[in-house]
Amino acid sequence: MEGFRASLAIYTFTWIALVGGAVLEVVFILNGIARWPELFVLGVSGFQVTLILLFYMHLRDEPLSIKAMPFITLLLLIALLASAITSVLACTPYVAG
Amino acid sequence: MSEGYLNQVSRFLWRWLTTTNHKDIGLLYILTSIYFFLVAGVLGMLIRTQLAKPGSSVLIGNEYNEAVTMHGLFMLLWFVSPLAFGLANYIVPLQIGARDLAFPRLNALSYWLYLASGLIALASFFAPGGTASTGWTLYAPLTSEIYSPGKGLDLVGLAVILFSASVTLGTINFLVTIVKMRAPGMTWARLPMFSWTIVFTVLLMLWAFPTLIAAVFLLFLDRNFGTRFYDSPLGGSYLWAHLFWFFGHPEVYILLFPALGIIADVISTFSRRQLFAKHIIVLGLSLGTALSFLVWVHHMFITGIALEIRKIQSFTTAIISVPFEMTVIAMILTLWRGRIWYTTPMLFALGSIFNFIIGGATGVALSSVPLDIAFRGTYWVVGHFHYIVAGVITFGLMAGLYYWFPKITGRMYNETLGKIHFAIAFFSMHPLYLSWFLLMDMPRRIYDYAPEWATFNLISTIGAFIFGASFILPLINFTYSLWRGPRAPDNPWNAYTLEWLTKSPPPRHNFEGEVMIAGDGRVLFLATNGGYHHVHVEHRTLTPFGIGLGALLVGLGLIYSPTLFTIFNLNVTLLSLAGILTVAVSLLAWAWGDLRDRFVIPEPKTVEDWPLSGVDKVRSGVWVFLVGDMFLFGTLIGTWLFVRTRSLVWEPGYLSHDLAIGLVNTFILFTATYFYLLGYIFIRRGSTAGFIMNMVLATALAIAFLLVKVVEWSHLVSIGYTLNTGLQAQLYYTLTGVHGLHVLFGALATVYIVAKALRGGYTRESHKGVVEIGLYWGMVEMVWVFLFPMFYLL
Amino acid sequence: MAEIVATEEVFWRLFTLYLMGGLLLGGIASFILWYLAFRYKAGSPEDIPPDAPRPGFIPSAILRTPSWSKLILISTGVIVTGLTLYSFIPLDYLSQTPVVQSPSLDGSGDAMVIWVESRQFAWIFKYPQGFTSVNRLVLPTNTLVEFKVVSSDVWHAFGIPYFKVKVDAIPGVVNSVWIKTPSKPGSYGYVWCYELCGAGHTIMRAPVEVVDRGAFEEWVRSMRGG
Repeated sequence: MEGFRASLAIYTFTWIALVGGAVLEVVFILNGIARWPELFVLGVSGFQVTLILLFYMHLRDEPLSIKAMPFITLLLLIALLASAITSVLACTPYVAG
Repeated sequence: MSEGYLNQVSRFLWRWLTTTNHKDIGLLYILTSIYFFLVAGVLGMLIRTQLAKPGSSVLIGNEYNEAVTMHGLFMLLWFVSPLAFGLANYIVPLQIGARDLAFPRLNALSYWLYLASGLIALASFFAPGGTASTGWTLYAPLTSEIYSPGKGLDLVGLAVILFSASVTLGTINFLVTIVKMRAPGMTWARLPMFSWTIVFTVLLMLWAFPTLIAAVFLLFLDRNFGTRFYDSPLGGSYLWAHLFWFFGHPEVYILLFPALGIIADVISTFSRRQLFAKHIIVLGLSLGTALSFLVWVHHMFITGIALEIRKIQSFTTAIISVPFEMTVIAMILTLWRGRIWYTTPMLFALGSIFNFIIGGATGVALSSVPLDIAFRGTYWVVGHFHYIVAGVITFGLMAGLYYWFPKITGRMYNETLGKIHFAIAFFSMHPLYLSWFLLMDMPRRIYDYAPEWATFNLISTIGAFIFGASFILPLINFTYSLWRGPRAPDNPWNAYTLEWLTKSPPPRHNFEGEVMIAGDGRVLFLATNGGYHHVHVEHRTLTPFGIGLGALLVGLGLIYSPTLFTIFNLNVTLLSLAGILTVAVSLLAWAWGDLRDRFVIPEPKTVEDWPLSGVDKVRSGVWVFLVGDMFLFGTLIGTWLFVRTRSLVWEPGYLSHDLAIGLVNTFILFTATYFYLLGYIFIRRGSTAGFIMNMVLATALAIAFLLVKVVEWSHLVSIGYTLNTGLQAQLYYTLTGVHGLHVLFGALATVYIVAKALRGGYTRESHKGVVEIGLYWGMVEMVWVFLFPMFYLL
Repeated sequence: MAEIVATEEVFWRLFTLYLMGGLLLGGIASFILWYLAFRYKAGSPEDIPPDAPRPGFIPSAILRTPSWSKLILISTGVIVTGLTLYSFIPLDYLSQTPVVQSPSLDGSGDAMVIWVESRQFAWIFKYPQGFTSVNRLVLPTNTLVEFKVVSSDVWHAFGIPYFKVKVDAIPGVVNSVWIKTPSKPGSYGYVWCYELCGAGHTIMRAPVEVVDRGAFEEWVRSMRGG
């Protein structure tokens, strides 16, 4: 763990980036700057989550097996969601008539 | 005289209600699971009686469906895993050379939650309208309040959630224990197969059960609060199928792995050989663990989903059979050049290998989609999984019970009676289950059938009665032997794993001295190092029992109590209120005990703990918990994504949320976490004042977040935007509600550490809990980082 | 019609392949199991081989893998993967809907589309000739029939054992499955419901009768007319 000043700097920087990210999202989406809002949001949120994991939760200081756990969680979620979403996109809708 | 008796009874009760020792809890799990085995077994007998001949009316209609459903649920959830975990509780610390599990109080809590959940599931039979009758797979929309009215299914849902909570705590415990509490020299290469399989089992549980909790929680909302997660057109019921089977497939490996571990250890012991290619088995099982999360669609092959997905998962399903083939072959080859001693556990172990060949082969047939089209929903499937659950898993667990009976009780069971049990069980199970493959056209879960299926059904029923009756033998055997059996030596089997190197039954602290394993494998018992042995550690507490009791009361209060008042459409009954208060008081007592440092267990100086070296037990445990919680949120956020991609627009009931409030709350939450972390760096330089000030600010901001949310919600409700206004509303309230609960618990936890600091508990070196709760806040923030744009911007 | 292989034929061919494979491999494995179990039986509990692991020593896993075990590993993987990939051929075949190309969708030719509405607890067959048959499926010989299966309440599953076809009936979705009726008229068992759907799940069945063209046309007339 770093000393007081270093930690203070890292946490403050992360805080600014998080708040800034939220503001950025608002500005870009309200003004229609982002062409694909969902992807843009995913990108910004992903970036913020990475910051939190690495700097707030000190994941970079943890051993590999702990680093692996959130990573595997993410992979499994992607597998589940990708299958679920593509499976219904392929369905023929039916409205009783 | 009567006073002495009363004294004895209360001492007995106190001993069992307050224990946190892994051996005691193991015994409690074993005995309770056997009880549920009998309940589920009787239900199975009822089913077979009804199916003995066509046109029978012993049990028909909805009651038959209830029997089928609860037979499945009790067997899978309340018998198999708990029995495996009872044995694991008792034996794993012995196998790794530890004194107890990593978190003994959590262990006790796991048990009492399990018992409460089982009792609630039993109570569901007596709910007006009966219990769940939808099959253990609980398919939507059959489980909606329209098609399954009555509170029985709600009780079952609550029982499942409580059971899942119990299991999650167990996951944390066993993972941290096996990774971080092995005796010096007990490397992964030396670890016995049973402990290895428990590691894989809890890893599976870690990622499977949160999905189940989320799925059942959404079902509960649908049934009681008017949401329509599973009912909505264009695939709401696909949502249930995906969530349930994402859990459901790993679940079957959760059931299987402990039994495989027992079978491996037993075969090794009784052939007098090391397990053949153990490293290949471990590699195979880890591959199987990973792959088990990528095959769930094979339960959905006829639902009409995309052909490409079915092909991919048909392929992964075929591949997943390979590690199990490897395991079976390795176990068979362990016999080679051995000197096999045929005891009852060995017979059960060999019998299960044979059953695994049959069960596995019939499963491979199911991995082929064209064959699955014909077999889905028929008795072929039922035959396949009964060969595994009864023929492999139950046989494996029986092997474990016989194998470790002398170690646990200090007495030998009767070997002749054991062998007779095996003979009757093994030979009766084939007529019972093989006939089902010949009934491959017969639908599942029906109580009457076509005349051409009568012969095989009758054969099966006869087999069922003999098979069921055979279990009377071990009941008699174990009960009698416990009382009058001959004393067992420490190592009756001449086995080489660590649990056999201590007394039968083991003393309270498991071993005489500290266990150490030298480079050549020799086991040494060292005199106590550094006072670890003599420190008096408080072991007993009533709080886990209290929480379990409270949970039970909440559950029973759903149907058995007068309503006191109603808030948000929820009837709060007398019993439920009592239950909630009991839980709250118990939690406070738990925290109070922690504040006074009553349960600090000194850790041994040297230990094998790769790959978590340098991470202490509590932090490891918190990471494990957080991963599960992340998955829970991930599933809920995924539900939003699922719903949103299907509906091109959000109607009805779409509302553009007030961005200003959302932004304010975002800022508040980010700043609260920031202050928390400032507090952390203050305590690291020894400044308690700075620490407390920042923590108080963090807590205040967290409360502010919640207050703003309350204001926001009140406003929304007042303009008519409620939980059942539409898809967007139900997702909004559910997700922000669950998140809000997390913020509340975070605030309470932060208050706790402020209290601890005020008592003078925190110094520059030792500030237990600050990092851990900081990790939790990080996760809460991570979730909000998604929720904010999801609901306020998109 | 001759070039279209009936769905049950597809199943039986594939099933026979898997059955032979399973019996062969399972038989070999079981034989080895029983053989070793008898061959290496100990004379007495004290009969212990000299290199047996001893109590008091915890052995480490041996890290050499005999090469023939790698062989077993690879061959089982190959067999199982091969069978699965091979199954994709009949899967693709079953997944097409051959009736779509057929011009005679009014049921007068060699093909017809029947809508199957599943509900608690009955099968409602909507024929293309414009009538409904409840719980009774009558089909002409030698015809391609495509079933479009829907549900008006909960999940059901439409399946006919003789033809080895089955598909889920999911509310809000249309699924389809096809069969080719045999050339021999007769009673071909029942349509059963293969997904638990409530108290009446057991009674949801419809007899399947295949009749020759003439008889079928008569039946159609009787269902439409009177």
